[in-house]
Amino acid sequence: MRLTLFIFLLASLLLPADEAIRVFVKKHIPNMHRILAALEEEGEEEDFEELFEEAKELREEFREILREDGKKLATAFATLHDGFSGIDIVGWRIEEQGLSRDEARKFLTPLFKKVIVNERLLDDRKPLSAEQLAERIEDELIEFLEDHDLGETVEIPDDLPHYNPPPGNTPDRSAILTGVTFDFKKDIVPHLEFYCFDCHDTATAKGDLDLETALAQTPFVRNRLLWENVAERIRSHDMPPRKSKDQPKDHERLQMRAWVHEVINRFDYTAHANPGYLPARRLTREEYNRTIRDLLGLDLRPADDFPQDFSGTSGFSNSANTLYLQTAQLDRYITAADNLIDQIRNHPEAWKKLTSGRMPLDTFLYRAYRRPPTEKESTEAHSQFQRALDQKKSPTDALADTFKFILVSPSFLLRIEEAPTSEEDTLVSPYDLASRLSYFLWSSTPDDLLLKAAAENKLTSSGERKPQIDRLLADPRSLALGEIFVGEWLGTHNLGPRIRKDPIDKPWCTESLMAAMRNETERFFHHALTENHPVAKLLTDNHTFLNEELARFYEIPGIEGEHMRRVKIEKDQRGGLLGHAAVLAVTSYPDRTSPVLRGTWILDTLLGTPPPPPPPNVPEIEANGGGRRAAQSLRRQLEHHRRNPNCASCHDQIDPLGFALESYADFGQFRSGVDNRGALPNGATFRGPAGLKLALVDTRLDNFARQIIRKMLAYALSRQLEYYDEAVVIDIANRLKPKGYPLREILIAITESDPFLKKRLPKPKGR
Amino acid sequence: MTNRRHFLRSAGALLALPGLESFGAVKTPKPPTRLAYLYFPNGSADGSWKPDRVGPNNSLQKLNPWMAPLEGFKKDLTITRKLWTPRGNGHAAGTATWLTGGSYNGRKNDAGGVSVDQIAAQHFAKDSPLPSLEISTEGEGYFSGSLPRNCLSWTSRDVPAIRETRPRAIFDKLFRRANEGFLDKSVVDLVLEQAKSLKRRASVADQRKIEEYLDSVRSIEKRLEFAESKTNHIAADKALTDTLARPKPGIPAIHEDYIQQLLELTALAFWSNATRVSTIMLDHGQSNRYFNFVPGVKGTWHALSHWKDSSGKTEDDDGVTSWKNPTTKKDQYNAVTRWHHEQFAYFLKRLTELKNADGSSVLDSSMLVYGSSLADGHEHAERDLPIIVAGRANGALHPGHYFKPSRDTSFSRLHLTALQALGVPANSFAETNSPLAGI
Repeated sequence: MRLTLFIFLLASLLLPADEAIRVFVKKHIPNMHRILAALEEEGEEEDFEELFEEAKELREEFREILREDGKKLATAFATLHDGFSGIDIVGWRIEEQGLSRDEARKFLTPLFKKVIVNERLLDDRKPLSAEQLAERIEDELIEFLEDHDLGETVEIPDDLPHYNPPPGNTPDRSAILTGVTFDFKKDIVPHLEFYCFDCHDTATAKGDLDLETALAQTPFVRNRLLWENVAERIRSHDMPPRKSKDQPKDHERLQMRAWVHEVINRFDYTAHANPGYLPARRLTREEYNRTIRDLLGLDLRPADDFPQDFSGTSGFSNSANTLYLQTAQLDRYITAADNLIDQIRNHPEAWKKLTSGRMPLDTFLYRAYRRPPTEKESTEAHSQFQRALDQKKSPTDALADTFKFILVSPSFLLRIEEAPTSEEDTLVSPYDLASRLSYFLWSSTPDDLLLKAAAENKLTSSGERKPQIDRLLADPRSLALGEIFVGEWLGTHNLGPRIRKDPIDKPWCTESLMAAMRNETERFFHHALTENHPVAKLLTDNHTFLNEELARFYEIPGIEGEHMRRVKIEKDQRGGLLGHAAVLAVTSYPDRTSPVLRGTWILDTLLGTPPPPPPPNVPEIEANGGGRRAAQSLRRQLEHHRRNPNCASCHDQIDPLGFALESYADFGQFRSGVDNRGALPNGATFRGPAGLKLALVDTRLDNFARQIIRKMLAYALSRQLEYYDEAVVIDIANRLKPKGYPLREILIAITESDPFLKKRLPKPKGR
Repeated sequence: MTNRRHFLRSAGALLALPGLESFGAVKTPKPPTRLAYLYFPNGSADGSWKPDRVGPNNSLQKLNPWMAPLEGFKKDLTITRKLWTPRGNGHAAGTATWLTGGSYNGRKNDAGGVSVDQIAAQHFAKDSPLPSLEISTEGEGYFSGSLPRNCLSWTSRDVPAIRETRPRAIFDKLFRRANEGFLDKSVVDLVLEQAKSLKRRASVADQRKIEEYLDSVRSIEKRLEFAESKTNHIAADKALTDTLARPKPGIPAIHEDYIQQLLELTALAFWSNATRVSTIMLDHGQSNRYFNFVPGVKGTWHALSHWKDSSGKTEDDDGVTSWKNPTTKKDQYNAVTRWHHEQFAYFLKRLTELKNADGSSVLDSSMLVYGSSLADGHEHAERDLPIIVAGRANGALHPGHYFKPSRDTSFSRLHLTALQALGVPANSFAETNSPLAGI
């Protein structure tokens, strides 16, 4: 009885309050009232309650403003929210009832006016002039209508050519620099100091750009990308900032650009030839796994559990300078040695293979150290074995313990090459060369045949090396070049471990599908390499590697079974790296494509010509969702963005490349009816992936080839490239250009280059 | 949840132990001072670091709702404001230099100096089986392979300390006994000898790498020596052998279990005197781990930290998750922070339960610094970092208050305080030579 009374009292307290809210909304925010009424009528209880809750908060805020600031501002507040609600209604009618753009405009104009005017009032800001107001309303209208555009299928005529080359005689940007004279000390240094050092000296280094330090680092090609960026910023008038009153005169700009052109683009590398030095380093996780596999005969992948390797400064995990060796790693090596040998002993066959032969210990030592052990090392291993026997261990146990010891010794864990005996360039020793070759081509230890070739001194001449390289490339272990070199270069190794779809929302995105995507790219490249395809074919090949699951994802019928096989593509929807799902997925944001990301990836990763980093405080441009409509709205936003000349200089190069790939959704699914046309600043136009490929091959093939050479060289040397290495890149490129840069010959040329065959001790610091 | 204390079957059994002797440490009237840094990424929202009520002398009276998990420990901690890192900021550089006070050079992987924990570790290296313990959760998402976002501790300005992510590996490091495995003194001597002879033959350029190997072997050698002295103790101490069970290999599926295992191991490492210095990264510097397992939260941590943009369209929003408005998104961002406060509270609780030989708690003898390298995540601000200092450091700290200097104060000064609290003879750290008074 008392409970009922309580509930009744409570209800009577609540009901009038609810009623008061209704009255308030009806009077002050009529548009919101209309939405509430509609929701109630439709029986959308949850939405109703949510909005009603908001109304309640608005009323309280309204009353507070009324109390503290008076009626004028309170009314402005209510009117502002009435405007918001009205805009919501119009948006709903566009989407659900197909309200036309013209009609929507009619309704929206007074609503935006309401919002803008009252917002300013509430912020204590001066009212806008009629002209300013009209302009603001127009801006809002355009943005709103674009956001609410359902998007229609863009019909691109079939007969539109895929690619139109740039009109003849495109102006060479550097042509204007011919004949410009300058004096470095008189014209360049003082101008950089005067115009740039306010922000870009060492102390300020705004945007992390420190020209003072860069100016002291010669030759200037050490900072090639930095100076190219500076020249581009000066050319496009991005820098000095427009608001700065000190602007260089036109001829001063030309002089600075001419100087950069002279010291960077026309730099003579031959005078700076240097094979560099491959520093001692530990094995990477992948190398450790494969080395253990080849040494012990079982693929146990112990390193999957090790602390991760960082992506090194060269972009590859094998970059010597980030392969730290610390207790955390040694701990794992010790545990791994223990477990591995015990596991092998449980495999009688593998153990037998390891321990048979006349001198199992010496053989193991030789293979583990990838060279003959020194006499001392050999004696030490044998005495360790003897010691175990002395402790009453069985010969098998003693041998196992000695193997474990070998697996934690520095000569196994580290790749240390013989020290050069002079400061002159020295040839890499045959055994070191065997390791260089096997870790380059296999990411693993040299096999017995390769060690034998080294022992017989048969790796010295290129004629003798060739059969070995052919043999290594023919071995399935060379797939490591696809898995590691290409995976890390293109970033496709991230797909699955790091980039993936939520398996609950997207059950089709299985581990096996992502593995097939990675494998496609790995095998595709490996095939092109071993078959000596010209680099252009990496972009244009109409064959690829598929299994059933990936083929179904690509909507290609008739492929059955799990294994990957080479397949000819009949439609022009796929083919070439740019149609690989792995590439397209790792160049998208989760659940949406980004022409900027893909365009930047092409320029930076694929072509090695990264656009300069965006200036600070650029608002992000984003699309919503992965559909066609989002793609269109994004395209419009980007086009709008490019009207800003500050942004245009880079985005004119970036975005069109990405637009062409808009035919693929964020995980590489093909989608039709999306505007995939693009135009480059040089006047070339193209449409879709097919057109983009033609455009790249026609205008950027040299960049692409040089980038492959550069990346493969850094990977082969397992170190960061230095400025002088560019000489090798240019030399190989020039020699192979007439043949269309065949891939296998690029690889061979790298194994014959000075940095691969020779070394020079680095100068100690401070000299 | 059942395996949260998988390797600590009963706290009671531990508490009954007379403290540290089990591990062969010298009996001292005063326990050693320990130092732990607990790092979380992505900052904490504006307003989330302000207590609701502060009493006389800035004593903490009531924390705010987001800090509720720490309410029970308000006498053991000090909430600090206005600390900042003048030279390093952001997800990458800010993480890499959080403990060095330097600026980060990405081309050289150079953090500008040795980190505070490693300075302490190097000072105590002689006396601890493990000079320091570096722990992190296994990275997820983009940036898991990024060096600066994953490296908090630096043994020299360009060599980061590699962090352990596997509970079992940490356990082995701490509690493996001398008679387990093949590695004994003679093997260690032999590999040391080999490394030395390699070093003699190697070029100057390669000697540093071999030196790295030598250092690692030496630290393992030292651990073996400690292990030998404790093996007999452990065998004799039934209660302890019962308590310590080796964690399963791999990573626990439930994130809370995972973090609490890592914290538990750190607590045990302090308590057993296996180490005096530890740093724990609760996630890498730009974690975009999903926190949907926290009630009411949808989305990844980094996306949530950009709470002012509720469009669902920021950099690593997944395109599926959206928020009604910035306020709801901010609430969820705060809920993730609060979830981490819960984990920190768990750590505080364990350190309170574990007792030193003199009866004081391990927390009483420790200094903990818990916080982030960003202030509000949306602003990417480096001023007014969210930092909490906890423990008494054997009397060097006086927790229980709200510390809010009037001006921006360098985080380096707190690091200097930490070094001095530990008894490291340091007069300066990074750019400062004045420790933070009144903490």
